[in-house]
Amino acid sequence: MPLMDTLYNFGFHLTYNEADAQDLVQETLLKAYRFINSYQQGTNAKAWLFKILKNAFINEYRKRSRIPDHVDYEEVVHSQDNEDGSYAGYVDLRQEIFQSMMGDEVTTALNSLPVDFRTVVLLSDIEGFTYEEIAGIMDIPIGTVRSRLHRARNMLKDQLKIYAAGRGFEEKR
Amino acid sequence: MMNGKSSHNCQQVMEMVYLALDGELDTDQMKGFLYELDRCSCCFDSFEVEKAFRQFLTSKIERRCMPPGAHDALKAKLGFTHSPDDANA
Repeated sequence: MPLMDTLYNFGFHLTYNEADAQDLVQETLLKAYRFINSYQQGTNAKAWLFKILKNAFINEYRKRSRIPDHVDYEEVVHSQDNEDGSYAGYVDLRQEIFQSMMGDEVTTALNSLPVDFRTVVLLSDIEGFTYEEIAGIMDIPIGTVRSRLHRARNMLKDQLKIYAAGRGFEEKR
Repeated sequence: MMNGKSSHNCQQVMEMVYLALDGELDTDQMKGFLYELDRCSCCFDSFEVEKAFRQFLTSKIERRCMPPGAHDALKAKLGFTHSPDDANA
């Protein structure tokens, strides 16, 4: 089952917890096995499994207090984006200060995003799903995928800038 | 924001940058996008910066694998005790 680690990685980034991530993988595979008839032949099996995992996460884990509460999207949007949605800040990740960042700093920056923003980044940039597939996994319109991705990446850049500033980085543009 | 060249809009091209890097442009759209990039060094630079950001994320974000032994333990729990190779034996 080569997808086990992929599902586990997604579950881990959602829960930050190894045991919870393993529980999510187990529940996902059990549900997939039980509801295999609902899988449409020819469609993306990986996307189908990710959707099951995402639903399991919402149903079983979001209720718990250790998972961040419901996100007020309007508040996030207005605090993070310019009104015209233009490019929020110029952060050239090719610079040495960013390249020297360790993976755990970047992962921490990702984990600081509200869960629905973190999720679209994981699904797009790490797992390579299309907008249409992400829309299906998250049960949101494609336009929302697009805008949420845009905002999530800008939030991530801002977060990385904060880390870099702690190392003496100064924005030049 | 227009940059002074006819019908080139940097803001629109920037929106295309995201779509292009996400693989959401079809062949004709990609051709048009590359044409616009070729016309404007500012847009080309923004494209390169955004591309570097994506590569940065892909290379830096930690990918977690299941702990050693967890695969087999989970397979046993699920009742998948045989390997796919067994089916071909």
